[in-house]
Amino acid sequence: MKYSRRHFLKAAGSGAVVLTTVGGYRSVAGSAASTQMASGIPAPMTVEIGTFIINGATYQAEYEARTTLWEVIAMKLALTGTNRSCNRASCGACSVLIEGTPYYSCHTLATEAREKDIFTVEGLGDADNLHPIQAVGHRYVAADCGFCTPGWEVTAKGLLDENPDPTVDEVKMALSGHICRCAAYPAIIRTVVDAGKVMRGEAEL
Amino acid sequence: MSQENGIPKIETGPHDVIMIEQPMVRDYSTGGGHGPEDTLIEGDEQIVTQKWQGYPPENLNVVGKSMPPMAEVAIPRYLGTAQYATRVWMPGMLYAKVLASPHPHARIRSMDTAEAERMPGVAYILTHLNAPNGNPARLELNGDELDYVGDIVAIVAAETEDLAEDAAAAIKVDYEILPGAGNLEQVMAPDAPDLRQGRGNLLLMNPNSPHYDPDATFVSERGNIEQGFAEADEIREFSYYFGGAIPVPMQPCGGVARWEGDKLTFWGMNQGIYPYRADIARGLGIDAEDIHYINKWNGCTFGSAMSTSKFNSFLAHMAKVTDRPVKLMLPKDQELAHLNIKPENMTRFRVGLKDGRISTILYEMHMSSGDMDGAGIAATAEISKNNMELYTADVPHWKTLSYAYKTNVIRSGCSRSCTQQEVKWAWESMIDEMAEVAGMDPVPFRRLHVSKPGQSLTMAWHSDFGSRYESENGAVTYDSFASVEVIDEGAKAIGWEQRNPVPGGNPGRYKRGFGVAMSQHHPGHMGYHEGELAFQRLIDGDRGGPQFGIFTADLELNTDGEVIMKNALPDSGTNHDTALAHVVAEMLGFTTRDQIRVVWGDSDLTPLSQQWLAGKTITLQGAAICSAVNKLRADLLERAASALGVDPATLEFRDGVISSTADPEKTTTFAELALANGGSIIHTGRGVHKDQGRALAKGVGACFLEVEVDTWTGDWRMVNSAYCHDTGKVVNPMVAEADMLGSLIQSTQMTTDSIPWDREFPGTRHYSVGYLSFRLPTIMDVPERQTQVFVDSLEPRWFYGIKSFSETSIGSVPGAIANAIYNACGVRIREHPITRDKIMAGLKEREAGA
Repeated sequence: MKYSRRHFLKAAGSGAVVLTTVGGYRSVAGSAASTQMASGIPAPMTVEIGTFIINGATYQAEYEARTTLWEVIAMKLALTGTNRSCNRASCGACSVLIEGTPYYSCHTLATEAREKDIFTVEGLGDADNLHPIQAVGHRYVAADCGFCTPGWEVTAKGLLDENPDPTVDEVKMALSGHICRCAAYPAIIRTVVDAGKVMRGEAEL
Repeated sequence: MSQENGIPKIETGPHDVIMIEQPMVRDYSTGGGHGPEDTLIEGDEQIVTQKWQGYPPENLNVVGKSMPPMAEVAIPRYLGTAQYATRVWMPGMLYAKVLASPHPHARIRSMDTAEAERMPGVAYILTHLNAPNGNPARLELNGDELDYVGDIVAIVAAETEDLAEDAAAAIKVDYEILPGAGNLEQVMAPDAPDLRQGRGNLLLMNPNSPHYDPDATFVSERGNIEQGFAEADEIREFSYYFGGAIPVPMQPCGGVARWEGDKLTFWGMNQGIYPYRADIARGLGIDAEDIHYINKWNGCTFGSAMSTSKFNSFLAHMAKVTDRPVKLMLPKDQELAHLNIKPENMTRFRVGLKDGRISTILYEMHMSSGDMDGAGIAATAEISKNNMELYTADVPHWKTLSYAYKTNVIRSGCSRSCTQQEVKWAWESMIDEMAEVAGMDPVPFRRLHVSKPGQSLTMAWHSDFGSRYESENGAVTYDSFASVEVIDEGAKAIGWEQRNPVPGGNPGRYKRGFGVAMSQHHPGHMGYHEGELAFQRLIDGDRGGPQFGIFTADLELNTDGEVIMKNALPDSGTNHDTALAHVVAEMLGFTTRDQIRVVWGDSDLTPLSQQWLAGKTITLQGAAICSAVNKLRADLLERAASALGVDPATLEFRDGVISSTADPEKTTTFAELALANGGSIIHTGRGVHKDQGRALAKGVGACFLEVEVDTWTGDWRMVNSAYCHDTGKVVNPMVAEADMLGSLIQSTQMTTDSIPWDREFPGTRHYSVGYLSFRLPTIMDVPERQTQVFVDSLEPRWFYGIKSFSETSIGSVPGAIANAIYNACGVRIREHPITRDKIMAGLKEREAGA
């Protein structure tokens, strides 16, 4: 389907009507399962429609074949918790778990993750019920700017699921694919080791 | 972790901090004593203020206590809900992509966007041909000349990033490639091309400046260096090179613009909101009041991101034209071209030694300024001031000559401190080399030379921008300047006595060594005691208009007895509101921080403030906050005295309860007073940033390192560190520790990574591709031990003896690494960055020499 610029701008004008405050993005995400794109947006050139199981909920998204998993999660489904930084599979900020294994979502094609169990930071905890990684992290200042945080938290969750009592070296190995520009690394190591203790009931918050 | 019922409890840090307390009475130029009744004479106006502003660092309940960062700022980071501009999402949003110049210097002969505009999903293409007039970025999209690789050629807005990128690639541009100079070697060559239309590539100061020189950018001197060298026992010369460095923020720079009628909402990424709101207003020719500017969280900014807001008005313009929200997230390779960097520079020293002390210094520094003239001129002045101060108080003869050149690279500027690491690396290497010439250990050699309390500042200079910096005749003296303490305590903490005095003298393949370097910064810009008087002058527009240097804060007491701070400044991981909340709680007599809340980073909710910079938020935004607390305190005392019918002098505050010492039955609460006033009591405080005047507090730091060099491979690692800071009273030790962990590692990265100018595009000065060829430290690179040494220097000018120290030590790290590697293996690296190859080459040379 070809769009002329004129046609496009006309459509775009009507699209602007649906704008609401940005605070509404959660409800957009919550509506899920919508294969309809916002009005006025043209269909992508090589359309695929896929089902994504994210933190236990099922979503459908329409995307181009070249679209990455991060783009589907954050741009199409508006699950904006996962940050993308380098977009070159180098920094780990965009990490999500696919079937329990950490992946850089900026360099995983969306189509590869279809119908698989995806875990993102939204699945970890919420304001009233922090996951031990989040609660211990706050107490140890494991996040300064916080941009890399969702990525390493998700990888740490994957590690603790597999290995509930990791050594410092095991934590370092598991998180070696994550860059933290604030260099909170010593606090991150302590956080993951001690969150493991909390999860095992050997320490409390 | 402490044990409770047999189960250990997770407790807060700090984890590895040594606190050095000072006696309350110190022999400073500002006078001894410590009572609130003691006074200080400050500022150009000779204003008399109370020591510690009447709040001495005694009997504290909240200031100085470790507490996790404020929940409302910190917790969303762990949840993935902190609203970075990159997280802003709304239906119907367009994504912007930039077509960047592939050439260091070029002119656009012609360009054709017709085909790109017809491509699927393309909404708008902005170029210099259709850009709005008067765009505030001035040098961007303001003509057909392109000044550096990455300069903006066009910005495309389309339905997805991929479609925008497709269209950007389809824009046809005919470039006329112009001669350029991308580095010092090229720009200093006799046949260097003219980059400034005949005005010369060397940047010059305003001829009215006392530091003007027709042949240099900045000149300053004391004594007579010819006489100094004639009298010296020994003269040495040293050269050092710094290749340029940058800290690289995590969050992709950019923003989101959305219009609703004539009202614009903009989500930005920077260190303030009001200056950038004003930029957009100027760029689009609209009223700033019509812009709702939001910026609460950033994923790092490091000062580097300050210059990326040039895109803001373009995004706002594109959103207007398309009637759709527009979002930009710069990819890392393109972003690099728009960040402030630590510039490439070359240093030459000629140093005279007399009777075992440095008697004469000639300091000559050449730097590549990039595409902005002003940045280079400012940097040379800043560099000269920062570096001459640390060791020259007792040096009778010195001269500094700085040269900044326009070049076809990205601009120099704030970049995880302003002009520290990139030049102190040369100074600190030189001091170590001179210690060896003098036959002294570098620690006592530094103690001998470093400026000390009571000594006069040696720099008396005026900036090129008309503001007076320091007093004439050296009348300003250092006071709370813990220069001796940071050396002595650091040496103790690292175990300096284990250092082998013979460079490379330890046996075996893996050789350990110790190194030290110092640094000094200007945390002082005291905004408070010149207070409302100076503020009013700024409002009246005597310099730079009403936006220059103003900090404002509102403080609202509500019926829950909560005190809400309203601060405009965004948080980049800085946690400054946490520190300010400690101060507010302490001043209002709380014993915890629980009742303090913060609203920040939103122009609809928070009053006018400039931006944070140079690690001085505690005294800039803090000036406004403290001023507001003082007003609230006085108001509450008055209201309580009137309500209770007692003398206000008998009233005291404790955890929101106001009671009379004369009659314990007479009490009221903050909440009741707020209720009686219709639900809230609000006060506004103001402070100013007016350069340093005489009211300056200096901080000093030192970095002690133990490293291990593998002499078979040239690999090295940091084993142990003692990072020492002249802190004043530390507001929150655990947050301070967290900040300093980053400071050390970021500066280590700057020492070992140069900007990878040509790794991807050999033969040009191209910026490489983001993180790919830019080696950033990971979790595997942290030293086994990172100890912080906090020296409470009892800053006399600020509430509770607090002073900013976030960048006092940051400049010391590169020199400490170079010196430690030299001590470990005998290889002196004078050419940045420090790499395995250079260590190996040095080892082979030593072997051949032996």
